[in-house]
Amino acid sequence: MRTSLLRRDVGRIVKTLLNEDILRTVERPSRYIGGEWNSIRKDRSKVKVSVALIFPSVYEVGISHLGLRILYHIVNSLDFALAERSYSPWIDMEEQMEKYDIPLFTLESKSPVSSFDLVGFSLQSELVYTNMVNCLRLSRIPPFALDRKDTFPLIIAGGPTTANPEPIADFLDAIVIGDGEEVMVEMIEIVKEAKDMGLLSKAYILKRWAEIQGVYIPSFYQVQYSNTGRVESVIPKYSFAPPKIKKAVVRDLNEQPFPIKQIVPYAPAIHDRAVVEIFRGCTRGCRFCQAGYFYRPVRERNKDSLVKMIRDILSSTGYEEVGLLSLNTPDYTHLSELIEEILPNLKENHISVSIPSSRVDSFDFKLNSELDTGRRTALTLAPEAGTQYLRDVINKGITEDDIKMALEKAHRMGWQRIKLYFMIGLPHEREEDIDGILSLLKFALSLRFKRVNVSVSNFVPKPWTPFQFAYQKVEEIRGIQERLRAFSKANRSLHISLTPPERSLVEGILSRGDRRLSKVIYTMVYEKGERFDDYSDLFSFSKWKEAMEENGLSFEFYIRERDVDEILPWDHISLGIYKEHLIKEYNISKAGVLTPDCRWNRCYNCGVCMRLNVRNILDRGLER
Amino acid sequence: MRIGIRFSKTGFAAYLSHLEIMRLFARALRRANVSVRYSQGFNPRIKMIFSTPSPIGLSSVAEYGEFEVVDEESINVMKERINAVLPVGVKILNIGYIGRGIPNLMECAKMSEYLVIRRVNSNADDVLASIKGRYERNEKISNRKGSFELRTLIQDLEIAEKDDKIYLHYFSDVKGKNAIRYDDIVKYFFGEERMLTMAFRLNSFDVEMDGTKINLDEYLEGRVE
Repeated sequence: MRTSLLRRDVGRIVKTLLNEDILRTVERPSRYIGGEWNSIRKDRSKVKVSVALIFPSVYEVGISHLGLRILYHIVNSLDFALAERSYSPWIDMEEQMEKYDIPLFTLESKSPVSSFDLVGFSLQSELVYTNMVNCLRLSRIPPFALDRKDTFPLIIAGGPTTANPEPIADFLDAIVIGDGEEVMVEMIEIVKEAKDMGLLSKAYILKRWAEIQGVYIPSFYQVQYSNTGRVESVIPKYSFAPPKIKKAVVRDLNEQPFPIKQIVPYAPAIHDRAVVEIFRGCTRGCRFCQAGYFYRPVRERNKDSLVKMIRDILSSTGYEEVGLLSLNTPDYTHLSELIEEILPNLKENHISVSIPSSRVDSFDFKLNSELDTGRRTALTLAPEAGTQYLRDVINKGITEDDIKMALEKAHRMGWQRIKLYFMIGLPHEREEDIDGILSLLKFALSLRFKRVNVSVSNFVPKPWTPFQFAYQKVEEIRGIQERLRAFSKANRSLHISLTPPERSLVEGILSRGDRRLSKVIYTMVYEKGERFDDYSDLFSFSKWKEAMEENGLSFEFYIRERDVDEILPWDHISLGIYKEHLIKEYNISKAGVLTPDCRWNRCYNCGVCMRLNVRNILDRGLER
Repeated sequence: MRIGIRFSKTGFAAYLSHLEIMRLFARALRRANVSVRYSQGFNPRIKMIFSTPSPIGLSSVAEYGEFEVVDEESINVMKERINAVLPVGVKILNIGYIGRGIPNLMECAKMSEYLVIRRVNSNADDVLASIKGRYERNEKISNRKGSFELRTLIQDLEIAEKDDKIYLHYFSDVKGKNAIRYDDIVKYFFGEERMLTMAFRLNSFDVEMDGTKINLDEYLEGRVE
């Protein structure tokens, strides 16, 4: 019965797409057609559990994302399950879908997303929350979990923003906190068991899921607010729901599969290359960095297995570039050995290597000039802050000399373009720290690069970082941006890109918000027709303002500094980190006291290894 | 050694852009491990030339491309190898060495043969008669270069009707001032209304001075040089 209904729905979607000539009239139709090399098409009538994985951004962004690639391959490697993909349709396609009554569909089989057992969202930024809810709207799935009663699909989500899942808690049946690869399989197995036993009830599945480390079932918890509007308590409603939800963590990446047959998109993806994850996690301890705290501990993959993986991935994809991914690739124990081993083969096949996001101090120029196969793209360096004091406040640890030497060296070695990253609005930031940015820029300009691109982002306090307590600056940022703009006008080879403070403000309230924000997101999508908040031309601050007011909430409440003993909306989530550690880090940051990396120094007792029973794994394979 | 291929793009692959097709082949050639020659210089790329790009939405069984290989090998084995690593909807139909002295296939491709199938809601007989009449009268039609007589741009039009569908079979230039895209023809005859439209490129030709058409396949029959 279900199969024939499904066949009818698929038939109608495909027919409408073709009959109404929709694909020819939208920008880049290849976003919607599927069938990319290495995409997997399994027969839905032959598997027990079907999963729709959705990256709620436009295709070119979503297809680039490693996490979803991993899950796609893991689920499809199970003989009783399948995964298909969907992305946010761009606004032109969305208009056509609404006009012709086409629900959100998957690329592989063009089935409605609503026909799957599970729908999983990957959430990489708070600014895609409206996109996620819009995907539910386009799928015609009731957005609030409470309204879905005992109906399928079950809606789940994962990704680093789930360090504080509360603003989206009301939409989701379950939220995966931490590494998804093992948890996803366990969750699917439970659905399969339930189906086998004829116990396909939502209540039963959620109860079983709650037993898995890393799975948070929002509807099992009651949030109480005080009369000042602060969260007073988050209490489990049932005895089987754990009071604290510990994140899931893969102990050793070497024991985890990695997708070799990676999908090769037709459309140019934003990261259009083969990727290998050389390690996960970072313990540098930058106090603003959520990824650094979310993905602890450091887990390096073994060099020899990486060499083989890279070779296999390249031959199965035909990519002309491979990216060695991690949070800071130069930190990999055997990076130069790894590159030495793969380089001859890559050069012979005209394949280049890309190393994203490098710290100034660990950046190896010799290595990079060797990798540089002539593309001579811009060299990127991230000083983050303008003075030594402020860099110490954020625990970045790099020195003025590191930065200046790197710039001089880059210039001597022939780089013509450089890109510099800074952050403004940081805690304890003073006027002179902005002077510091300008003087670093003056120094870079004095070297006469052809172009100096500067990307200045606004600091947004993130949950589970030491700066989670900090006040989020908005007006201050406006003033700093004025100064930067004026400076940039006077220098023609300088190009500064800034982020609108309003967008950072919205990101901030969604980062540190509580469950009441779910209603605001709902209002934005269903009543105001908003989505794609990460696109400047589509982001509307006035609508956000209205939506906040209509729901009786204020921005000021959410950007305020938090008391260290205040109960935070995400306190019932545990990334393994002691809150005391975060408080200590926050307190010593003001004096610019550094905390060294525990990978190469003593443990500073953040709690992760202790509580989650894991440890840093460095690839010691070459050591004698 | 120059290798020429004739390939199809059908089904959903008809919606791939020319740029996407180029990238797709560069990667497929690497996957197939063909000893393809790269461009010289700073940033070596696979040297591949394609015949006239077909617009998005046009299905085709007559797309052409050429590239150079370093090592000689069985041409049919190569075809099998590449076909094994091409995504759904894209397939090499014919492959061969391109003879000495033949200009690149992009220059050679001058004209294509098309079949356009269009559903009509109103009386198909009337639509058929009207199109026939306009073609007989040799009305003016505009392409992207100006206004021309129908029979200059749409050559040897044959037209038929079956089951509420109109079938147009014709030849038209793929470059130069007489070139016209299939979607412009559809708009001209049927108006702006959106309706099931299937369009196929069936063959592509070089055209000699005297008007003789040479199917591009004939250029894929050169010897190994």
